[in-house]
Amino acid sequence: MEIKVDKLSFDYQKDIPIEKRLINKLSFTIEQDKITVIIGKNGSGKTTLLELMNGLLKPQSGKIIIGDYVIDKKNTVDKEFHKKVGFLFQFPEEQFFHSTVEKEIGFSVDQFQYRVNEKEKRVKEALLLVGLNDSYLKRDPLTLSNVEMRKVALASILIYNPKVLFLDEPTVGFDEENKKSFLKLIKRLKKRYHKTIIMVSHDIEFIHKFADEILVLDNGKLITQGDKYEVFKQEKRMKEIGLTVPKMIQFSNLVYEKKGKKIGYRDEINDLIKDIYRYVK
Amino acid sequence: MLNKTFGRYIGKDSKIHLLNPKIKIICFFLQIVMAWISNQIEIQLVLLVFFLLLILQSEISFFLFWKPIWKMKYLLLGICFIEIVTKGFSTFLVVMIMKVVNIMLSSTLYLVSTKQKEIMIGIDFLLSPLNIFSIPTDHFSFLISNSILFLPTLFYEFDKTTKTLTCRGIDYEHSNWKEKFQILSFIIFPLITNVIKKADSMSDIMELQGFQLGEKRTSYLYYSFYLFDWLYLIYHIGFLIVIIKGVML
Amino acid sequence: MENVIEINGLSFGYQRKKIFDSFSLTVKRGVFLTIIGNNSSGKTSLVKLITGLLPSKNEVRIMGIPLNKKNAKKIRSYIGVVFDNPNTGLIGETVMDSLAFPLENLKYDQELILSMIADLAKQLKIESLLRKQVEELSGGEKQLISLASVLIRNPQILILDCAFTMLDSKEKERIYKILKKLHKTTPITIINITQDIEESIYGDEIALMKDGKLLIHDQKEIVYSKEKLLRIMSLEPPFMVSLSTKLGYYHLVDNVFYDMNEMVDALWK
Repeated sequence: MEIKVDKLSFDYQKDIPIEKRLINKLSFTIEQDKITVIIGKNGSGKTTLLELMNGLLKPQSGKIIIGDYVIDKKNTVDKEFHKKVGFLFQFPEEQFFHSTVEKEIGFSVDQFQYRVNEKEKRVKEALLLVGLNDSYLKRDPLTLSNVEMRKVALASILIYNPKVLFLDEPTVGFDEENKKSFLKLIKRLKKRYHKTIIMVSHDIEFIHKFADEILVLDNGKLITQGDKYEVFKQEKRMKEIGLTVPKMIQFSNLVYEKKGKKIGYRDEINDLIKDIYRYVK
Repeated sequence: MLNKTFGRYIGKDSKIHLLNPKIKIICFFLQIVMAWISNQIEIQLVLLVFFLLLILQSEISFFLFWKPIWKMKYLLLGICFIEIVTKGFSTFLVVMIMKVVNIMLSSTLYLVSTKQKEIMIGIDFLLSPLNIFSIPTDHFSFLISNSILFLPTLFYEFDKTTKTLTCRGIDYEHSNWKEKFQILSFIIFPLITNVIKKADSMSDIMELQGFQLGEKRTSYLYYSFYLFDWLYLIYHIGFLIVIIKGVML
Repeated sequence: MENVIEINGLSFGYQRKKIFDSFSLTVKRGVFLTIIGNNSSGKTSLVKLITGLLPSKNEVRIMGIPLNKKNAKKIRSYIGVVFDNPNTGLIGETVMDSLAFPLENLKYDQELILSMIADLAKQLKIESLLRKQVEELSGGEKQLISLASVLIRNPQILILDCAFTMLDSKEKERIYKILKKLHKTTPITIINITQDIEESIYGDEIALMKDGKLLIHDQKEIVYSKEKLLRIMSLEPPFMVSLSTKLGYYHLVDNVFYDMNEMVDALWK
């Protein structure tokens, strides 16, 4: 399912001129089977954009095309859409209301009307997918740790196998170990399950480890789009809009700026060391 | 979606904003009484003009006052319809509608032009006679005025919960009555849980900042009485007397 | 040097979960300590135990005084905490209300309160925010005012509990600057609890906590060198430290550079 956004504009206040809107004539395309990360300082419109792309808000002008669906001023989405497009909100664990993990994860199965005899099997599969075992099934979701709760929330979305997955700050509050395991899961969802993943995050170092595409927002406008190197190369521009670039990139940029040596962009610090060694000698 | 800025304080330097909180709440109370007890169209009309003048004086955009009334249009039309069908058209119906409108204008004006601290001082003043019975009125005034600050949280949580449910396959519009009721229960639980969590978190912070309910505190804002306060009060009392006389005749 | 916080053999847990089992930690006056804890380290419970929001059995001493129910209120006045959620950290409708709140609780009079707010606003450069409503502020501004409402009481100990998790880099930068200045110019003790090891660069000492246990508490340079220990928590030393250490193996630099500019100059003299 390809995603295309075309001259999208939106604001909560109806009578604001387009130039001052929260989302301001935004146009971009998101490729399938890739992990796209949307970055921007707080207030740049990231969460609003996600909500628009899920049909939860109505644009004032422009449109969004996801697969066969068109979202604009006159058209919106139906229940079938939400089955194909999953949305993990920020702090999803705050929305639990079932007494067991099993019921919480299986909730959407009833809503989307799957065959009931498959439900138990699907719940177990979803749980396994996020790295939790059967022992969690009968537990009260509110007694779990924050990380476990978030995994349960994710499982409750993965159970209906959406083709597209929107994630809003999914690793906020995670320690390094949990971030690593989450990263593994995301990569697996992309490679093995061929899901298109769109994530909002402000953890630049973390993003650097897996993003295929990065979209940069500021004041509701698209500043730039491209692979991580193309985007992070523009360090000055990013700084102007309140963002940083990964430290390894900062270092390479600084070396080029001060000493004219093109060290190149690396993902691993050991590779960076090798480059530096070559250039110093 | 519910209006996010409902009842939020809009700061201006108008004469209405600068009113002494004690006088202001008394007059607000008198306004409600006046709108409630008069059953004559002429009086309701005069009250309407009076409130509109006060709104004008407050320098706050009239749109903010119109919005809550417009949102109630179906309810008002519904009442009209029922009345006309059962009892036929009457001036009483018009008076009733005008009462509702006037009370809403007066309430919105109070909420929108009064700081939370001023509301607290006002409620405390109104409840102070109960101190004779050793009732901790300062607890109530503090809690009531602070709960107004929770309105944005309530709207935010409601918004988030309904959006999450939509994404999980809940289709409110295409559900029957029984399902609609069930959906409300899905919303209520996380809503209440989250509001309580936030309140809990805030009370921890208040405790850490040295707050103890019931203990004496100072205030960085003090309110004096000015000429306009007394004129405002006298005018309201006079108006009320006239209305009471009119009702009794 | 006096110990401002002394935790000795602290045991604490809920019905089914034991969080701390004989936990000990000592913090000296004036230190800037970074506590890095994993998700199940109990760090938020620790903050609540230190401030008396959760009960302890004489296992916590603040400035030499054992903390108990009776003196919790007095001892709390020495400690200021900024929590992680910007949306619940401010009491009141406007920024002025939030800054005045703690001073009103101390029963200061109007003139004093207003002058203290004016002084602090000038110091932190937040004069333009004073008349704003709390709801209008961005997440970063809310945390900044939270910090201000804590500093206005001149606490001896400042604790930041994951205060930066919801901020973007510019907002973080602004608060780091204030912390650095505080640390340099006042005898305040700062404890920054975080999961991001990069933040530890601003401090003197580091304590690592995992699953309710203290793995190490030492000068930051020493902790950075304990790579095996860091790896237990899936951590690596901060970027500049790793870079300096590894370049050191090749004899390209001879000490740790925290500043990128200095390192670049050192590499290509």
